[in-house]
Amino acid sequence: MLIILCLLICFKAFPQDGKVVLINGGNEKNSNNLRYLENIRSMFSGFVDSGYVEDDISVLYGSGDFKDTNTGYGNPYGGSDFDIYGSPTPQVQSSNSEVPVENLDIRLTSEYVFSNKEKKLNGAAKKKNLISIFDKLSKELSKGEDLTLFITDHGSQESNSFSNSMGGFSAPSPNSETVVNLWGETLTIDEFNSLISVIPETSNVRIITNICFGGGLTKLTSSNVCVMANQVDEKPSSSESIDLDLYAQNFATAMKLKKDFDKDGKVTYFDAHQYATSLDNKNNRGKTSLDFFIEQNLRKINQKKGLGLVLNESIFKCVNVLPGVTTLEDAIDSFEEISTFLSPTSIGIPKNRMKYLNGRINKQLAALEGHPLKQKEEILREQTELLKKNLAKSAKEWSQLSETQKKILEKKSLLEAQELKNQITKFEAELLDIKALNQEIDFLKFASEEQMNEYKKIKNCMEGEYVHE
Amino acid sequence: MNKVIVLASLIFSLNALALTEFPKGICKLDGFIFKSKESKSWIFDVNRGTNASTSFYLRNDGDLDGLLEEGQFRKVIIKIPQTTYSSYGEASLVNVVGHVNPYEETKLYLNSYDVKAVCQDYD
Repeated sequence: MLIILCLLICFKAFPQDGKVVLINGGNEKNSNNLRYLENIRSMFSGFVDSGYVEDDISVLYGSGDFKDTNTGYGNPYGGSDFDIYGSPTPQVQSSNSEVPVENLDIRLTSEYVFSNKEKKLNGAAKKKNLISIFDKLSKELSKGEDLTLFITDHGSQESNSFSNSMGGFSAPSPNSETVVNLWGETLTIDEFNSLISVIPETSNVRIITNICFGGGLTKLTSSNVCVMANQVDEKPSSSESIDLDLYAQNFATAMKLKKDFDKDGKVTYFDAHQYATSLDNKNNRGKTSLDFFIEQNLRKINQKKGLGLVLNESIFKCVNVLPGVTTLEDAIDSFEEISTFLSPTSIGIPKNRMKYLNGRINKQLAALEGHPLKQKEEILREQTELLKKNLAKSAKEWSQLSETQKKILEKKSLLEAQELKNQITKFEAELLDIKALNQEIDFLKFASEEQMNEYKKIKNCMEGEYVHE
Repeated sequence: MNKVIVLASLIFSLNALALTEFPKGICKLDGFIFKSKESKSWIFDVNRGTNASTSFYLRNDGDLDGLLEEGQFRKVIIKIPQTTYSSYGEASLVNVVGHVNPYEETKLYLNSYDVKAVCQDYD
């Protein structure tokens, strides 16, 4: 009996609980790039590989017709001029590699996207269709069944003021909000929130997205709604070419290969997100609901840290009365020793909270062993500042050149500038990683039980273990 | 009831901006100029490498081959005949204004504010 049960599990005889909705808005044909179709195709296959039955996966695509896709071929201006970014070698093969360019039309069919003649699109990516699907799902989802959304598309930023609706223009502000482009219309955060609100709170709603400014969707975070985006709120996302987007392709690959990225023994969607962001275009920086939640809660936590600083000052005043401290240098040494002890890497994170540190953070902590976090942060900051000064100096020198000199030096300068910019991007990414690490550690050290409970719920929503050993 | 609330909130929501919209008009933009090997057209790319990348196929009464050089970052003035969204459209080349400083951050045009600062209607 046990063997039969094992075989059933191994051969996915038990379908995955829950529902999936794949969305590509596209906006209009020229904007509806081939990579969105490839992303939908690969994610569909990824979800099927992770145990979902095809009927539980709804697909809303552009106009509702795959032919309204910008293939980059046969466009009104002639020729294929899009695979030109000159990006580094992709980590995955483009999923369309088996289809020769001259047979491109084959790609624009249901058979190609779904590998199943029976499967059809569920309609255009329009608000009315989203409303009707969410309404249907709200009745179909059983207690504990998840809803997973994948949104691939253009994202835009909407300045959160009335001036736009009146035809005026206002500068993007901290209040600017991400909007999802559907087919000829857009979906704002408030509208998205309204859509999700019909889903019972007993179901987690997991949103995976690679749209520009996608991190802005983390504003939807609640105890049963979580978001994993491949780019932060304020930046456009980058892809490799008209038909290749690394994040979505690698996310699907992770599902297919059942990647346990953080090696915690569980195969989860968060593993797939971490795997995909680790291989993504270096201009992209992932953001999740956990990042959003921790950011939101740090104000309260920082108040507690303020108390810690007061404690530090008191220690400084006290060290000179410690045995063996006779000079100012001794006092400073002792103070530094105690401060190091209190630094985020060495201060005791409550044991019962250590298990919530995810694999990514554990790896970083291991890599930083012997290098106090603050020290590493300081060195990186100094290096970044130095590089930025060099860049600014070169920019000033360049602007003073004559047009002829610029023409002569252009190629050399382009290479040099690119190298400097790449280095700065790398250091800034490391700095942001350290900042995020510090924030999560601070959160785990000081969060109240209520905050911890909320944190666990969001983490649980993001993980959504899909391989049950 | 929920459905009614959702519908109502969707109907009364603000219209948002879609992608990067370059309105009909004259724009002074930083971007990359190159000649397509396939179509033999001159193309001016802005927001290059991002998902808001926009390729303007350049038209000009004169000889563009004599005027432009391959693979250069330039500041140019173009005339856009009709509203263009990312990913491509066409434009007339008015003038090449100068080089783009390679040591500065490449300018990106990602929202109406960025576009309004460099474009004006020619009507």
